[in-house]
Amino acid sequence: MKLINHTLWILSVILFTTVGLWAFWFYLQLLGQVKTTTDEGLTNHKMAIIDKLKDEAEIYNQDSFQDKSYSIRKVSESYALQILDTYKDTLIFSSLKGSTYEARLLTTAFVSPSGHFYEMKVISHEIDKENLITKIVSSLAYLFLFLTISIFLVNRFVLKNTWKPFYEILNYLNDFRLDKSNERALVRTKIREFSLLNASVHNLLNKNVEIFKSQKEFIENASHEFQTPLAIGINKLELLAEDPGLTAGRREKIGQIIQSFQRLSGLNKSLLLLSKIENKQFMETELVNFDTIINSCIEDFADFSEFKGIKISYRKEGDWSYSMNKSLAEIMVFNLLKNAIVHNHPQGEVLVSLSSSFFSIENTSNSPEIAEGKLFKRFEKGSESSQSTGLGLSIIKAIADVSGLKILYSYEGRHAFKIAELG
Amino acid sequence: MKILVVEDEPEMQKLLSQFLQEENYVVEEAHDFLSGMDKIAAYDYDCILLDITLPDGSGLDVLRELKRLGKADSVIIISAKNSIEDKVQGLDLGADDYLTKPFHITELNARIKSVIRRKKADGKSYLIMENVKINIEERLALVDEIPMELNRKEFDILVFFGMNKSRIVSKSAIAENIWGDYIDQSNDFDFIYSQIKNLRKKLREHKAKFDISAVYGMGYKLSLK
Repeated sequence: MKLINHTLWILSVILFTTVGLWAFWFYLQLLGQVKTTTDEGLTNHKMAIIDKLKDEAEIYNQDSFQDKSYSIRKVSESYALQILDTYKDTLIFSSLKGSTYEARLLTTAFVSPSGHFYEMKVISHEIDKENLITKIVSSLAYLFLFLTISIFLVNRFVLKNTWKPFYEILNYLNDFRLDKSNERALVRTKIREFSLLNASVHNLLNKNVEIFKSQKEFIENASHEFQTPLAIGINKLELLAEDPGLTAGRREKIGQIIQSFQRLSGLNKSLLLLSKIENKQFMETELVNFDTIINSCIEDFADFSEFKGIKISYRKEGDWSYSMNKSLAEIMVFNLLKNAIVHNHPQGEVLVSLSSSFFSIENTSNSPEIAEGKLFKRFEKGSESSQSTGLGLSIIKAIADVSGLKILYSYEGRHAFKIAELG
Repeated sequence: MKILVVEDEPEMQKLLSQFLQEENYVVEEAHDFLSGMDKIAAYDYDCILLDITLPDGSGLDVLRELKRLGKADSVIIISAKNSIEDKVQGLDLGADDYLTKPFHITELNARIKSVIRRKKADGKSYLIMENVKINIEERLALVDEIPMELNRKEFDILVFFGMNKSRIVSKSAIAENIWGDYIDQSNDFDFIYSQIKNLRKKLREHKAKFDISAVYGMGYKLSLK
């Protein structure tokens, strides 16, 4: 839920409840006031009637309210004396209209100049409550409608505009890439909070760019510092191995040292590659055709697999092109295929299949199913592969992660890795 | 043949000089950016081995200066950086080749020989190994003037040996040179054996006056019959 809508939602709930409650209170107040006014009117009316009756010689009983707005009944003195002026709501049947109507009724008693006691009931038409409620409710409905429309308009035009700088910052952050120099400036805004946010974002990003740069430099320098002594070591040993005075045994030992150095160098290269991938330093993407890459990788491995006595078959069920970094795509396919050959048994098989949205590489092997937790862990090695660095699958995973691909592993007698598009 | 080595690492400089002298080149040394700039301005070289990261400047600027002076010296960049951008930039600036540290001495040897060979560009220069003549441009191998049928890999292996006549060539150097950069991560280079075996068989059949013999634990070496 958007912040705007969230606040508006809360605001609306509070507003509508308040206005609703207020309307109810208003209705009660109004009703009370109307009653008071009606009762005052009844009292005045009573006085006027008594005044008028005083002049008449004879007061007749009058039972119904048919012609007049009052009724009179002669009563005993004791009965009259216990009557207090009371006001109440009542329903009166009107034979004229043939229906009942609500009325306010005043019951009182008086004594005539001739000394007789009378009970008198005076009525007054009361305000139609139902009508009143209907009116209030409909006014309220109009008010709500008006409020809703104005809230919507405020939301649509005023708040949208107010929040615009915020969404611009968001877009800016989304598009931001540490390794791509971001020349686009943040949009200026008059709103203090947003300009503060702008400044903070700007500072944060600048710091990160600095850190990223120095980290990148560190990695590159580390690589340089490692590779140079390794190069010196390897090359010196290579020159030394050519010394004609060396015995075959010593030359073999030198060969072993060179191999160790090369492994170290390979490990260093792999770690650097991994950190480069994770630092997203392979940014250039293009539409990569996996059929081409798979074919060229199989070709590259032809001699290697033949020597190992492993049969590689390729089953193409569809053609898959995907937008990613080409070097990474090649490294990914190469590493998967290499794994499938290296972790195989003699006379084993490797099956590569390509469909329109994924490819999979499965291989026979003597090693059992890989436990899920160990799968992409760095330096986790299969039992037979003393030669491998244990970084191959980590590299594949890292490539899949930065390229929006997923890697799936399954085992049904054969190890199978599948690379597919996310979602 | 005169070669300039621009390299700030003294040990690297020393071993490169030693190896180049063994290969009968005249070697000049520059240990930093400024002396490198001085040397390229003052003399002409058949080949320059150029380290990119120098203490007081970039090797790429040396390359720029060289091109600005309009010199035709061949340049091989030697860098510890294995990044595509650097490679592309170096080659765009006019370097002839780009080699990443660590490399095999035999690989460097082959690269130097090919850039010098390419510069001559008369197409008539043969790589001579006893009674075997190789025309690299036309991919032709002749034993006593009789053509020898070789597949692509066998031919490339023969050329690689031809450029490293007196050297021990390691299996990984062959794998990297013939099968490409990636394969050197395989750590298991015995697969090159079958190509070598076929090549040896063809050399024997054509009565070449040398053989490829195994150096145990290291690789292979050319040996005279």
